[in-house]
Amino acid sequence: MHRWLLLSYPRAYRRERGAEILETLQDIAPQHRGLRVGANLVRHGLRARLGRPASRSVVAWAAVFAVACGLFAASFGIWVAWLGSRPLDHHELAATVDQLYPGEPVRDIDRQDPPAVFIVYGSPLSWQSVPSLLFGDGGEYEFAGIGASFTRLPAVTRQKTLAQLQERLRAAGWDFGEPIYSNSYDCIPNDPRCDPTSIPSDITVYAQRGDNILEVHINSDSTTPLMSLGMSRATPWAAYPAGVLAFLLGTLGGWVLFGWASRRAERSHAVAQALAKFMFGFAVVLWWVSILLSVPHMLTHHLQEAHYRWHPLWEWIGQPVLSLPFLFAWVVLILAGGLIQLPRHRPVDRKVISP
Amino acid sequence: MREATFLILTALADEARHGYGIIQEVAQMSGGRVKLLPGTLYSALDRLTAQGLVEFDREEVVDGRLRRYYRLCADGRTELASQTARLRELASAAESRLRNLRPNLA
Repeated sequence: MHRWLLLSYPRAYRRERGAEILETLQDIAPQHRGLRVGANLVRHGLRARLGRPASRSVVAWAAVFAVACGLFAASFGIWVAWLGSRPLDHHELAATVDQLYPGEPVRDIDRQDPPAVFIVYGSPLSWQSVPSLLFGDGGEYEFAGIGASFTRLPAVTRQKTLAQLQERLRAAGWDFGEPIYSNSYDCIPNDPRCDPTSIPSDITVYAQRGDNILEVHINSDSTTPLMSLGMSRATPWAAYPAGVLAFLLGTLGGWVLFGWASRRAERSHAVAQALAKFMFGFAVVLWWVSILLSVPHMLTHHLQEAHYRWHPLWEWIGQPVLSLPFLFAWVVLILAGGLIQLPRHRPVDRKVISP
Repeated sequence: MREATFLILTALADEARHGYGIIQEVAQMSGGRVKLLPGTLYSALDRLTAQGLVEFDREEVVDGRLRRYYRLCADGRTELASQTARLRELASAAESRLRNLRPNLA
Protein backbone atom coordinates (compact mmCIF):
# COMPACT_ATOMS: atom_id res chain seq x y z
CA MET A 1 0.00 0.00 0.00
CA HIS A 2 2.82 2.42 0.88
CA ARG A 3 4.19 2.08 -2.64
CA TRP A 4 0.90 3.55 -3.87
CA LEU A 5 0.94 6.29 -1.26
CA LEU A 6 4.38 7.29 -2.50
CA LEU A 7 2.55 8.60 -5.58
CA SER A 8 1.80 11.70 -3.52
CA TYR A 9 5.52 12.55 -3.94
CA PRO A 10 6.72 13.99 -7.26
CA ARG A 11 8.18 11.48 -9.72
CA ALA A 12 11.79 12.72 -9.53
CA TYR A 13 11.64 12.56 -5.72
CA ARG A 14 10.28 9.00 -5.83
CA ARG A 15 13.11 7.92 -8.12
CA GLU A 16 15.71 9.41 -5.83
CA ARG A 17 14.29 8.64 -2.40
CA GLY A 18 11.44 6.17 -2.93
CA ALA A 19 13.47 3.02 -2.18
CA GLU A 20 14.99 4.61 0.91
CA ILE A 21 11.60 5.67 2.28
CA LEU A 22 10.13 2.21 1.62
CA GLU A 23 13.03 0.58 3.50
CA THR A 24 12.42 2.86 6.49
CA LEU A 25 8.68 2.13 6.32
CA GLN A 26 9.45 -1.58 6.48
CA ASP A 27 11.70 -1.01 9.50
CA ILE A 28 9.07 0.86 11.51
CA ALA A 29 6.10 -1.28 10.38
CA PRO A 30 5.87 -3.42 13.56
CA GLN A 31 5.70 -0.36 15.84
CA HIS A 32 3.19 1.90 14.04
CA ARG A 33 -0.34 1.70 12.76
CA GLY A 34 -0.55 1.70 8.96
CA LEU A 35 -3.25 4.37 8.69
CA ARG A 36 -1.28 6.98 10.62
CA VAL A 37 1.89 6.21 8.71
CA GLY A 38 0.01 6.40 5.40
CA ALA A 39 -1.64 9.73 6.21
CA ASN A 40 1.72 11.12 7.30
CA LEU A 41 3.30 9.94 4.05
CA VAL A 42 0.60 11.53 1.89
CA ARG A 43 0.79 14.81 3.83
CA HIS A 44 4.54 15.12 3.45
CA GLY A 45 4.41 13.82 -0.12
CA LEU A 46 2.08 16.66 -1.05
CA ARG A 47 4.44 19.07 0.69
CA ALA A 48 7.39 17.61 -1.24
CA ARG A 49 5.50 18.35 -4.47
CA LEU A 50 5.91 22.07 -3.78
CA GLY A 51 9.71 21.90 -3.70
CA ARG A 52 11.55 24.63 -1.72
CA PRO A 53 11.74 22.50 1.44
CA ALA A 54 13.04 25.38 3.57
CA SER A 55 10.21 27.75 2.62
CA ARG A 56 7.06 28.17 4.68
CA SER A 57 5.38 30.77 2.49
CA VAL A 58 5.25 28.32 -0.42
CA VAL A 59 2.69 26.22 1.50
CA ALA A 60 0.50 29.28 2.10
CA TRP A 61 0.65 30.31 -1.57
CA ALA A 62 -0.10 26.76 -2.69
CA ALA A 63 -3.10 26.58 -0.36
CA VAL A 64 -4.48 29.92 -1.58
CA PHE A 65 -4.05 28.88 -5.22
CA ALA A 66 -5.44 25.37 -4.69
CA VAL A 67 -8.56 26.56 -2.83
CA ALA A 68 -9.29 29.09 -5.60
CA CYS A 69 -8.90 26.29 -8.17
CA GLY A 70 -11.19 24.12 -6.04
CA LEU A 71 -13.87 26.83 -5.97
CA PHE A 72 -13.70 27.35 -9.73
CA ALA A 73 -13.81 23.59 -10.33
CA ALA A 74 -16.75 23.21 -7.93
CA SER A 75 -18.61 25.95 -9.80
CA PHE A 76 -17.97 24.13 -13.05
CA GLY A 77 -19.12 20.82 -11.52
CA ILE A 78 -22.34 22.42 -10.26
CA TRP A 79 -22.90 24.08 -13.64
CA VAL A 80 -22.55 20.70 -15.39
CA ALA A 81 -25.00 19.15 -12.90
CA TRP A 82 -27.46 21.95 -13.63
CA LEU A 83 -27.27 21.19 -17.36
CA GLY A 84 -28.63 17.74 -16.52
CA SER A 85 -31.62 19.12 -14.58
CA ARG A 86 -35.17 18.47 -15.77
CA PRO A 87 -36.13 21.06 -18.42
CA LEU A 88 -38.81 23.59 -17.54
CA ASP A 89 -42.21 22.75 -18.99
CA HIS A 90 -44.64 25.52 -19.95
CA HIS A 91 -47.52 23.02 -19.61
CA GLU A 92 -46.62 22.68 -15.94
CA LEU A 93 -46.80 26.46 -15.55
CA ALA A 94 -50.20 26.57 -17.25
CA ALA A 95 -51.44 23.78 -14.96
CA THR A 96 -50.15 25.63 -11.89
CA VAL A 97 -51.81 28.91 -12.90
CA ASP A 98 -55.03 27.05 -13.59
CA GLN A 99 -54.83 25.26 -10.25
CA LEU A 100 -54.15 28.43 -8.25
CA TYR A 101 -56.42 30.79 -10.18
CA PRO A 102 -58.99 28.82 -12.18
CA GLY A 103 -60.87 31.02 -14.65
CA GLU A 104 -58.78 34.12 -13.86
CA PRO A 105 -58.00 35.98 -17.12
CA VAL A 106 -54.25 36.03 -17.72
CA ARG A 107 -52.56 39.01 -19.35
CA ASP A 108 -49.64 37.00 -20.60
CA ILE A 109 -48.31 33.44 -20.25
CA ASP A 110 -45.27 31.71 -21.74
CA ARG A 111 -46.36 29.12 -24.28
CA GLN A 112 -42.88 27.86 -25.10
CA ASP A 113 -40.19 26.16 -23.05
CA PRO A 114 -37.00 28.17 -22.43
CA PRO A 115 -34.22 27.52 -24.98
CA ALA A 116 -31.64 26.48 -22.34
CA VAL A 117 -31.08 26.03 -18.62
CA PHE A 118 -29.10 29.30 -18.50
CA ILE A 119 -29.70 32.28 -20.72
CA VAL A 120 -28.10 35.64 -21.52
CA TYR A 121 -30.65 38.28 -22.54
CA GLY A 122 -33.17 35.51 -23.25
CA SER A 123 -30.85 33.47 -25.50
CA PRO A 124 -28.66 30.46 -24.80
CA LEU A 125 -24.95 31.03 -24.21
CA SER A 126 -23.15 31.51 -27.50
CA TRP A 127 -19.99 33.11 -28.85
CA GLN A 128 -22.03 36.22 -29.59
CA SER A 129 -22.82 36.59 -25.89
CA VAL A 130 -19.17 36.34 -24.79
CA PRO A 131 -18.43 40.09 -25.18
CA SER A 132 -21.49 40.88 -23.03
CA LEU A 133 -20.34 38.46 -20.34
CA LEU A 134 -16.78 39.77 -20.33
CA PHE A 135 -17.47 43.48 -20.47
CA GLY A 136 -19.82 44.22 -17.61
CA ASP A 137 -22.99 42.28 -18.36
CA GLY A 138 -21.96 39.01 -16.70
CA GLY A 139 -24.88 39.39 -14.30
CA GLU A 140 -27.24 38.81 -17.21
CA TYR A 141 -26.20 35.15 -17.28
CA GLU A 142 -29.03 33.67 -15.27
CA PHE A 143 -31.43 30.78 -14.81
CA ALA A 144 -34.09 30.54 -17.48
CA GLY A 145 -37.65 30.82 -16.27
CA ILE A 146 -41.19 30.88 -17.57
CA GLY A 147 -43.90 33.16 -16.36
CA ALA A 148 -47.44 34.44 -16.45
CA SER A 149 -49.11 37.71 -15.43
CA PHE A 150 -52.62 38.89 -14.60
CA THR A 151 -54.40 42.01 -15.78
CA ARG A 152 -55.97 42.56 -12.37
CA LEU A 153 -55.58 41.36 -8.83
CA PRO A 154 -57.54 38.13 -8.26
CA ALA A 155 -58.88 39.55 -4.97
CA VAL A 156 -60.00 43.09 -4.28
CA THR A 157 -56.95 44.34 -2.39
CA ARG A 158 -53.29 43.34 -2.31
CA GLN A 159 -53.55 42.03 1.25
CA LYS A 160 -56.58 39.91 0.35
CA THR A 161 -54.75 38.70 -2.78
CA LEU A 162 -51.81 37.71 -0.59
CA ALA A 163 -54.01 35.85 1.90
CA GLN A 164 -55.82 34.10 -0.95
CA LEU A 165 -52.50 33.15 -2.57
CA GLN A 166 -51.14 31.68 0.66
CA GLU A 167 -54.31 29.71 1.21
CA ARG A 168 -54.30 28.30 -2.33
CA LEU A 169 -50.58 27.51 -2.29
CA ARG A 170 -51.10 25.57 0.93
CA ALA A 171 -54.06 23.72 -0.54
CA ALA A 172 -52.08 22.84 -3.67
CA GLY A 173 -49.20 21.41 -1.63
CA TRP A 174 -46.69 24.22 -2.12
CA ASP A 175 -44.18 25.04 0.61
CA PHE A 176 -43.89 28.82 0.83
CA GLY A 177 -41.98 31.43 2.82
CA GLU A 178 -42.87 34.68 4.53
CA PRO A 179 -43.88 37.45 2.10
CA ILE A 180 -41.07 39.88 1.30
CA TYR A 181 -41.98 43.56 1.12
CA SER A 182 -39.78 45.85 -0.95
CA ASN A 183 -40.08 49.40 -2.22
CA SER A 184 -41.47 49.70 -5.74
CA TYR A 185 -38.78 52.27 -6.50
CA ASP A 186 -35.95 54.05 -4.74
CA CYS A 187 -35.45 57.74 -4.14
CA ILE A 188 -32.33 59.70 -3.30
CA PRO A 189 -31.80 59.72 0.48
CA ASN A 190 -31.67 63.19 2.10
CA ASP A 191 -33.47 64.68 -0.91
CA PRO A 192 -36.35 66.87 0.38
CA ARG A 193 -38.70 65.19 -2.10
CA CYS A 194 -37.73 61.72 -0.88
CA ASP A 195 -40.15 60.30 1.65
CA PRO A 196 -39.50 56.55 2.00
CA THR A 197 -42.75 56.08 3.94
CA SER A 198 -44.79 57.25 0.95
CA ILE A 199 -43.16 54.79 -1.49
CA PRO A 200 -45.55 51.95 -2.36
CA SER A 201 -44.25 48.46 -1.72
CA ASP A 202 -44.26 45.29 -3.81
CA ILE A 203 -44.88 41.89 -2.25
CA THR A 204 -42.94 38.78 -3.28
CA VAL A 205 -43.72 35.22 -2.20
CA TYR A 206 -41.41 32.29 -2.95
CA ALA A 207 -42.80 28.76 -2.98
CA GLN A 208 -41.48 25.30 -3.80
CA ARG A 209 -43.13 22.05 -4.78
CA GLY A 210 -40.92 19.18 -5.91
CA ASP A 211 -38.28 20.62 -8.21
CA ASN A 212 -40.42 23.63 -9.17
CA ILE A 213 -39.90 27.04 -7.64
CA LEU A 214 -42.62 29.64 -7.92
CA GLU A 215 -41.97 33.36 -7.50
CA VAL A 216 -45.15 35.42 -7.14
CA HIS A 217 -45.08 39.22 -7.30
CA ILE A 218 -48.03 41.24 -6.07
CA ASN A 219 -47.13 44.72 -7.22
CA SER A 220 -48.24 48.16 -6.19
CA ASP A 221 -50.88 50.05 -8.16
CA SER A 222 -48.19 52.01 -9.99
CA THR A 223 -46.62 48.86 -11.47
CA THR A 224 -47.78 46.85 -14.46
CA PRO A 225 -48.62 44.00 -14.35
CA LEU A 226 -50.31 44.04 -10.99
CA MET A 227 -49.51 40.40 -10.39
CA SER A 228 -47.07 37.97 -11.99
CA LEU A 229 -45.84 34.42 -11.47
CA GLY A 230 -42.45 33.01 -12.45
CA MET A 231 -41.52 29.35 -12.48
CA SER A 232 -37.97 28.07 -12.35
CA ARG A 233 -36.15 24.89 -11.41
CA ALA A 234 -34.91 24.01 -7.90
CA THR A 235 -31.27 23.01 -7.46
CA PRO A 236 -30.89 19.44 -8.75
CA TRP A 237 -29.67 16.97 -6.09
CA ALA A 238 -26.71 16.04 -8.32
CA ALA A 239 -25.34 19.58 -7.94
CA TYR A 240 -24.27 18.88 -4.33
CA PRO A 241 -22.11 15.77 -4.86
CA ALA A 242 -20.86 17.22 -8.15
CA GLY A 243 -19.79 20.41 -6.38
CA VAL A 244 -18.04 18.58 -3.53
CA LEU A 245 -16.29 16.15 -5.86
CA ALA A 246 -15.21 18.89 -8.26
CA PHE A 247 -13.95 20.98 -5.33
CA LEU A 248 -11.78 18.13 -4.07
CA LEU A 249 -10.43 17.32 -7.52
CA GLY A 250 -9.91 20.99 -8.35
CA THR A 251 -8.07 21.65 -5.09
CA LEU A 252 -5.84 18.61 -5.60
CA GLY A 253 -5.25 19.59 -9.24
CA GLY A 254 -4.42 23.15 -8.20
CA TRP A 255 -1.94 21.87 -5.60
CA VAL A 256 -0.25 19.55 -8.10
CA LEU A 257 -0.14 22.30 -10.74
CA PHE A 258 1.33 24.77 -8.27
CA GLY A 259 3.89 22.17 -7.19
CA TRP A 260 4.91 21.51 -10.78
CA ALA A 261 5.40 25.23 -11.42
CA SER A 262 7.15 25.78 -8.09
CA ARG A 263 9.68 22.99 -8.68
CA ARG A 264 10.43 24.24 -12.17
CA ALA A 265 10.72 27.82 -10.96
CA GLU A 266 13.40 26.64 -8.51
CA ARG A 267 15.54 25.59 -11.46
CA SER A 268 14.81 28.61 -13.65
CA HIS A 269 16.89 31.76 -14.05
CA ALA A 270 16.76 34.09 -11.04
CA VAL A 271 15.24 36.98 -13.03
CA ALA A 272 12.65 34.73 -14.70
CA GLN A 273 11.87 33.23 -11.30
CA ALA A 274 11.34 36.63 -9.68
CA LEU A 275 9.16 37.82 -12.55
CA ALA A 276 7.15 34.58 -12.56
CA LYS A 277 6.57 34.89 -8.80
CA PHE A 278 5.33 38.45 -9.21
CA MET A 279 3.01 37.43 -12.05
CA PHE A 280 1.71 34.48 -10.05
CA GLY A 281 1.05 36.67 -7.01
CA PHE A 282 -0.73 39.24 -9.17
CA ALA A 283 -2.97 36.59 -10.79
CA VAL A 284 -3.89 34.96 -7.48
CA VAL A 285 -4.67 38.34 -5.91
CA LEU A 286 -6.88 39.13 -8.92
CA TRP A 287 -8.80 35.89 -8.37
CA TRP A 288 -9.21 36.38 -4.66
CA VAL A 289 -10.24 40.03 -4.96
CA SER A 290 -13.15 38.82 -7.15
CA ILE A 291 -14.02 36.11 -4.63
CA LEU A 292 -13.70 38.29 -1.54
CA LEU A 293 -15.71 41.12 -3.08
CA SER A 294 -18.56 38.81 -4.04
CA VAL A 295 -18.89 36.57 -0.98
CA PRO A 296 -19.95 39.29 1.54
CA HIS A 297 -22.40 40.72 -0.99
CA MET A 298 -24.01 37.32 -1.62
CA LEU A 299 -24.00 36.43 2.06
CA THR A 300 -25.81 39.66 2.95
CA HIS A 301 -28.31 39.05 0.17
CA HIS A 302 -29.02 35.49 1.35
CA LEU A 303 -29.37 36.54 4.97
CA GLN A 304 -31.81 39.31 4.07
CA GLU A 305 -34.36 37.08 2.37
CA ALA A 306 -35.22 33.39 2.34
CA HIS A 307 -34.11 31.46 -0.71
CA TYR A 308 -35.63 28.23 -1.93
CA ARG A 309 -32.72 28.01 -4.33
CA TRP A 310 -29.36 29.41 -3.30
CA HIS A 311 -27.55 31.44 -5.88
CA PRO A 312 -25.13 29.12 -7.68
CA LEU A 313 -21.54 28.94 -6.48
CA TRP A 314 -20.12 30.83 -9.45
CA GLU A 315 -22.11 33.90 -8.45
CA TRP A 316 -20.66 33.64 -4.93
CA ILE A 317 -17.15 33.84 -6.38
CA GLY A 318 -17.97 36.72 -8.69
CA GLN A 319 -18.54 34.84 -11.94
CA PRO A 320 -19.35 35.60 -14.65
CA VAL A 321 -19.69 39.24 -13.55
CA LEU A 322 -15.92 39.45 -13.03
CA SER A 323 -15.00 36.99 -15.77
CA LEU A 324 -12.62 39.45 -17.43
CA PRO A 325 -10.18 39.65 -14.47
CA PHE A 326 -10.61 35.87 -14.00
CA LEU A 327 -9.54 35.14 -17.57
CA PHE A 328 -6.84 37.80 -17.50
CA ALA A 329 -5.39 36.09 -14.39
CA TRP A 330 -5.32 32.78 -16.29
CA VAL A 331 -3.42 34.43 -19.15
CA VAL A 332 -0.92 35.89 -16.66
CA LEU A 333 -0.52 32.45 -15.05
CA ILE A 334 0.09 30.78 -18.41
CA LEU A 335 2.70 33.43 -19.25
CA ALA A 336 4.35 32.90 -15.87
CA GLY A 337 4.35 29.14 -16.56
CA GLY A 338 6.04 29.78 -19.90
CA LEU A 339 8.60 32.01 -18.24
CA ILE A 340 9.81 29.34 -15.83
CA GLN A 341 10.12 26.90 -18.73
CA LEU A 342 12.77 29.07 -20.37
CA PRO A 343 16.15 27.29 -20.32
CA ARG A 344 18.53 28.52 -17.67
CA HIS A 345 21.62 30.17 -19.12
CA ARG A 346 24.69 28.09 -18.42
CA PRO A 347 28.21 29.25 -19.20
CA VAL A 348 29.71 27.26 -22.09
CA ASP A 349 32.51 24.93 -21.07
CA ARG A 350 35.76 26.24 -22.40
CA LYS A 351 37.96 23.56 -23.76
CA VAL A 352 41.56 23.89 -22.81
CA ILE A 353 43.60 23.56 -25.96
CA SER A 354 47.01 22.34 -25.18
CA PRO A 355 49.76 23.88 -27.24
CA MET B 1 13.19 25.28 16.17
CA ARG B 2 10.72 22.45 16.67
CA GLU B 3 11.53 19.70 19.11
CA ALA B 4 11.64 17.01 16.40
CA THR B 5 14.11 19.05 14.34
CA PHE B 6 16.29 19.63 17.40
CA LEU B 7 16.28 15.93 18.17
CA ILE B 8 17.19 15.00 14.57
CA LEU B 9 20.18 17.37 14.70
CA THR B 10 21.16 15.90 18.06
CA ALA B 11 20.87 12.36 16.70
CA LEU B 12 23.34 13.25 13.97
CA ALA B 13 25.73 15.13 16.28
CA ASP B 14 28.04 12.22 17.11
CA GLU B 15 27.88 10.14 13.93
CA ALA B 16 26.27 9.80 10.52
CA ARG B 17 23.02 7.80 10.64
CA HIS B 18 20.49 6.39 8.19
CA GLY B 19 16.75 7.15 8.34
CA TYR B 20 15.71 4.33 10.63
CA GLY B 21 18.79 4.93 12.78
CA ILE B 22 17.68 8.55 13.30
CA ILE B 23 14.14 7.42 14.21
CA GLN B 24 15.50 4.97 16.80
CA GLU B 25 17.93 7.49 18.25
CA VAL B 26 15.27 10.20 18.55
CA ALA B 27 12.88 7.76 20.25
CA GLN B 28 15.62 6.72 22.70
CA MET B 29 16.69 10.30 23.51
CA SER B 30 13.11 11.40 24.16
CA GLY B 31 12.29 8.32 26.23
CA GLY B 32 9.87 7.08 23.55
CA ARG B 33 7.87 10.31 23.61
CA VAL B 34 8.81 11.50 20.11
CA LYS B 35 8.11 8.84 17.51
CA LEU B 36 9.15 10.14 14.09
CA LEU B 37 7.26 8.81 11.09
CA PRO B 38 9.10 8.43 7.77
CA GLY B 39 7.12 11.22 6.07
CA THR B 40 8.04 13.68 8.83
CA LEU B 41 11.65 12.49 8.97
CA TYR B 42 12.41 12.83 5.26
CA SER B 43 10.56 16.13 5.05
CA ALA B 44 12.72 17.43 7.93
CA LEU B 45 15.90 16.04 6.34
CA ASP B 46 15.00 17.83 3.06
CA ARG B 47 14.48 21.07 4.93
CA LEU B 48 17.67 20.75 6.96
CA THR B 49 19.62 19.88 3.80
CA ALA B 50 18.19 22.94 2.00
CA GLN B 51 19.18 25.07 5.01
CA GLY B 52 22.71 23.68 4.82
CA LEU B 53 22.57 22.09 8.29
CA VAL B 54 22.62 18.41 7.21
CA GLU B 55 24.20 16.68 4.24
CA PHE B 56 24.26 13.30 2.56
CA ASP B 57 27.14 11.17 3.82
CA ARG B 58 27.20 7.81 2.06
CA GLU B 59 25.07 4.97 0.78
CA GLU B 60 25.36 1.34 1.81
CA VAL B 61 23.53 -1.84 0.94
CA VAL B 62 23.29 -4.05 4.03
CA ASP B 63 21.62 -7.48 3.65
CA GLY B 64 20.15 -6.29 0.35
CA ARG B 65 18.66 -3.18 2.00
CA LEU B 66 19.52 0.34 0.99
CA ARG B 67 20.91 2.53 3.77
CA ARG B 68 21.54 6.19 3.07
CA TYR B 69 23.47 8.01 5.76
CA TYR B 70 23.23 11.66 6.73
CA ARG B 71 25.62 13.76 8.75
CA LEU B 72 25.67 17.16 10.38
CA CYS B 73 27.37 20.02 8.48
CA ALA B 74 29.51 22.65 10.19
CA ASP B 75 26.53 25.04 10.13
CA GLY B 76 24.40 22.28 11.62
CA ARG B 77 26.79 21.88 14.55
CA THR B 78 26.79 25.65 15.11
CA GLU B 79 22.98 25.77 14.98
CA LEU B 80 22.69 22.81 17.36
CA ALA B 81 25.14 24.45 19.78
CA SER B 82 23.22 27.74 19.68
CA GLN B 83 19.86 26.00 20.16
CA THR B 84 21.29 23.97 23.04
CA ALA B 85 22.57 27.15 24.70
CA ARG B 86 19.19 28.79 24.22
CA LEU B 87 17.34 25.84 25.73
CA ARG B 88 19.84 25.70 28.62
CA GLU B 89 19.24 29.39 29.38
CA LEU B 90 15.49 28.85 29.32
CA ALA B 91 15.77 25.77 31.53
CA SER B 92 18.01 27.67 33.98
CA ALA B 93 15.58 30.57 34.14
CA ALA B 94 12.69 28.19 34.81
CA GLU B 95 14.68 26.29 37.46
CA SER B 96 15.70 29.46 39.25
CA ARG B 97 12.10 30.71 39.43
CA LEU B 98 10.86 27.35 40.64
CA ARG B 99 13.61 27.30 43.27
CA ASN B 100 12.49 30.73 44.53
CA LEU B 101 8.95 29.41 44.70
CA ARG B 102 9.88 26.22 46.50
CA PRO B 103 13.35 26.44 48.11
CA ASN B 104 13.48 22.66 48.59
CA LEU B 105 13.38 21.99 44.85
CA ALA B 106 16.72 20.58 43.79
